[in-house]
Amino acid sequence: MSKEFTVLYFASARDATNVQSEKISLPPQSTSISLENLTILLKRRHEKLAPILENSLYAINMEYVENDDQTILVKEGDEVAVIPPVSGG
Amino acid sequence: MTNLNKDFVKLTSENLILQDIINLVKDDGAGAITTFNGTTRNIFKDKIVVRLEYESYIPMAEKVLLNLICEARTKWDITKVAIYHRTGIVPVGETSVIVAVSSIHRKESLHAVEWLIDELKEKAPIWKKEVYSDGSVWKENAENRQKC
Repeated sequence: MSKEFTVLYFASARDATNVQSEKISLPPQSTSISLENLTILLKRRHEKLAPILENSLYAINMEYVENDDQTILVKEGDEVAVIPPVSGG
Repeated sequence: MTNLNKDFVKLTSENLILQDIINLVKDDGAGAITTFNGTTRNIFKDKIVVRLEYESYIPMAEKVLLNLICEARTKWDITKVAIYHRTGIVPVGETSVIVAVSSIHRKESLHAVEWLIDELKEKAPIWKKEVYSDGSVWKENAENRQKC
């Protein structure tokens, strides 16, 4: 059984992917994926998502993370959210 | 979502009624209640807005808002706090967000409300889509959290 994590898409990101959420398998033989590689993977899956990811943040298990933090790894069972620029209020 | 009956946070598709939110933060020991009531505008850059649609990552938004209240409590001596935000379709002119804070003296709640609404606009995972007669746009708040 492959190890999976979940990705949630909101607002413009959901419009670009046409899905609210999806389960994605970690690369074979790996137990985690870096944010840099996650971005590459998501762009490959969803062409229209590329420009949106440039201006979005990631949240992992409901905590914002810095996109360029190389110490952060997405692991099996994690919930990753693509957070485009917010506009509440 | 509530915390010791002092903090009230909710993302809801129901109408927001100011008096109901005020009642949540009422406290016999508090001499002041400050509220911010945000309403949806009908015009953006000469375009007529037909309606607004709010979307949220609800569990994270509620968590972010409770954390903001926690942080506000380290800055000001405030009694009770309520933050309610609409989701789904909000017709023009209706309330989209209410922040209400009670405190013993007025200054604390006045400052806390301003800070809380500013932080909400920057950090809460909530999105607004403006729908015009000829299309729609996902908005971005000016105070958006900068990508690092």
